[in-house]
Amino acid sequence: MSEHRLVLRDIDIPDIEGITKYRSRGGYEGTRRALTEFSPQQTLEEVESSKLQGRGGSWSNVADKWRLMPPATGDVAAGERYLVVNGYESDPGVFRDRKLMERLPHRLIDGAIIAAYALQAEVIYVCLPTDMRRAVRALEVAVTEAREQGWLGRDIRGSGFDVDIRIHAGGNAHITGEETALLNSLEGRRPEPRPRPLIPTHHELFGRPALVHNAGTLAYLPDILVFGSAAFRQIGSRRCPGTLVLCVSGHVRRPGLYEVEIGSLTFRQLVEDLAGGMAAGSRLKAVLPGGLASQVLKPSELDVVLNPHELSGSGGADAVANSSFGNGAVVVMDETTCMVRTAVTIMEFYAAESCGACPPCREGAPWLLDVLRRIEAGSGNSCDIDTIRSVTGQIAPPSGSPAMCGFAPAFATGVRGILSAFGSEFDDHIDGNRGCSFAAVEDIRVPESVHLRY
Amino acid sequence: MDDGANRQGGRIEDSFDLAELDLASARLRNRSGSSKQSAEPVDHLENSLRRLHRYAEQAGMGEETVTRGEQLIRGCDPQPRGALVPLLLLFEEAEDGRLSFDELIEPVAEIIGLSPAGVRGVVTFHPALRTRSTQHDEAAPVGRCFRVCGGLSCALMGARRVTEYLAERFGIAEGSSSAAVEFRLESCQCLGACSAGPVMTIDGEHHESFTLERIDTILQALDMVATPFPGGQVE
Repeated sequence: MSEHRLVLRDIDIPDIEGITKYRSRGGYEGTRRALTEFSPQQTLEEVESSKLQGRGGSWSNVADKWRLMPPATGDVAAGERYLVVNGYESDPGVFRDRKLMERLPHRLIDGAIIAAYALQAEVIYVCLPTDMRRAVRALEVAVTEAREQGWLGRDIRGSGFDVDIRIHAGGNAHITGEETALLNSLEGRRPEPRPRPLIPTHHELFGRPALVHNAGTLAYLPDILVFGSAAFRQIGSRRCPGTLVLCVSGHVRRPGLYEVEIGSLTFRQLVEDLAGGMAAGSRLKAVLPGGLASQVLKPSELDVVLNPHELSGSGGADAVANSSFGNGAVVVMDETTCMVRTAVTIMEFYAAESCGACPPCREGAPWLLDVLRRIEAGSGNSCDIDTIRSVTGQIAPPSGSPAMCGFAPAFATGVRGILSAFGSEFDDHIDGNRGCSFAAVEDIRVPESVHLRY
Repeated sequence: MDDGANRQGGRIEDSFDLAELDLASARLRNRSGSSKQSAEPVDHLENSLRRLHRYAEQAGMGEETVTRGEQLIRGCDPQPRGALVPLLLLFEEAEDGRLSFDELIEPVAEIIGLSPAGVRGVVTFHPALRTRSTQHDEAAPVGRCFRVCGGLSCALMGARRVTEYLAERFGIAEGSSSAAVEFRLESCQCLGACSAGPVMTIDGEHHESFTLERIDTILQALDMVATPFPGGQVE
């Protein structure tokens, strides 16, 4: 049971943020290879044959997404094309792209140039919230270094390909991380999601074709170009090759980032072995396997292999089949955790961050929060449970949500999951108006250590 | 169209529509598949840069700020409006808290060619900017802002205790500023360092994995008095 570091293999090395150290570890070889030995089309084919999948939570093939961009020839060719790197990962529980940008900014730039070359984009925007000051500084320094050494700018390394990176440190609203909202934000608008077309298509920025990419996915590209797609497919599962960077937080001995081979271990092994098991004196109660929106798992349900396609959200009777792999945020809770309060905390986030563009979310989130708070305070009644079920069911029905983006369905499935797994705890709060029997304010806890803190 | 001539008066209520129109016509050109350019496109970039220089002169801004502002605007070529949030933050920092966000909205709107309402709409959308825009009477200096992460992972590690402790120390309620001493305490959503909770930012600087003792050390290092402050107003 061990980690398998691919993207994070150099994170321990001092000064890896600098270009000298990054180059000495084989950095920018992928870019050099793509630009000098491959055509844009061949680069795309190499990535397609690697079966690399989007790490932002979609787990769809990267090459399929790239093919949505209109070809760089013909009438639409005149003018700029954009690659937008999404550094917003403001989902609670996720912090891997932030660490990547802080510690390995050149790896991100390396991958972004390769993607821009395949897409024939002339400008790369790296977008991140301005709160991430350390990441903004690291990226600014790295971009300057890369420019000085000729990896960015005009005619990179004599290949005739021009690309430059612009860092856009914007506001911190959660929804900015939604791809069309991010494009709106770049255009100086309120970051509200754009209406979704029925058929997936490319997006537009400043009226030009643009493709939005998760930062974590791009970090895999340099190695795929250097070592080849066949070697990449040897790692991980057949359907989903590569590694996963998991963000473990909560009541374990060693929370932190863990990079593991896809399909090589189960959630139980992750929690009990890699993360060191539960903190001293506490017993496991529940695990959110993939962020706030995933179906909560009980201790008996943890023997699921870590593979995005195992927890598929494809329906079925048991919790495991209903859960989704989500974004790799593994939140571990012990027995002192009140599940009603967990639901309240989750809904506080969604109610605060709802952008207000569509009613299921704008009305649904504050309303669910009110009901849950009422139950926590001991003034709920049994009808409240039925109402939560019915409303979450309307926000996220099996036939597809009426909401504009994935935000409302996320809280609906999350809360419904907690209610179905820990319904008796909700009943306890309601029976005889007892309210919450857990400590009113949790004590501060300090884990033994934090893995890959930096 | 001479875009600059319309702006000489300094008020540019109509420029929002111009920027919108330009974008819409670019979209239409792409849709219709014709690469034919309409007469002479408006040079938003040059106009923005000119207005930036004019504002910098009026406000007496340093050269460094102007250069940085130019970079930000050029970075959003062909639509300077994209530099909205970065420019606001740049000016705020350059003014070192002397100007509130509210006062910066008009100049920024003018520079990037949006209506003030358009800029305010974006500012009030982002939690971190929103709280800064509903400020502070003129006499009170903009104080230290404590933001405690309220995400689930931090909540599990005792974030509520941290808020409670700070509120007690400062004698104010969460979500409010003290009038006597310049600081503000608010709870915010995920700050993105979930393995190291509880997490908070003080004036944007990140602090993580702390205990109550460490909070005391941090406060002492910041020269914040160790005894609870008397009174304090709730907004």
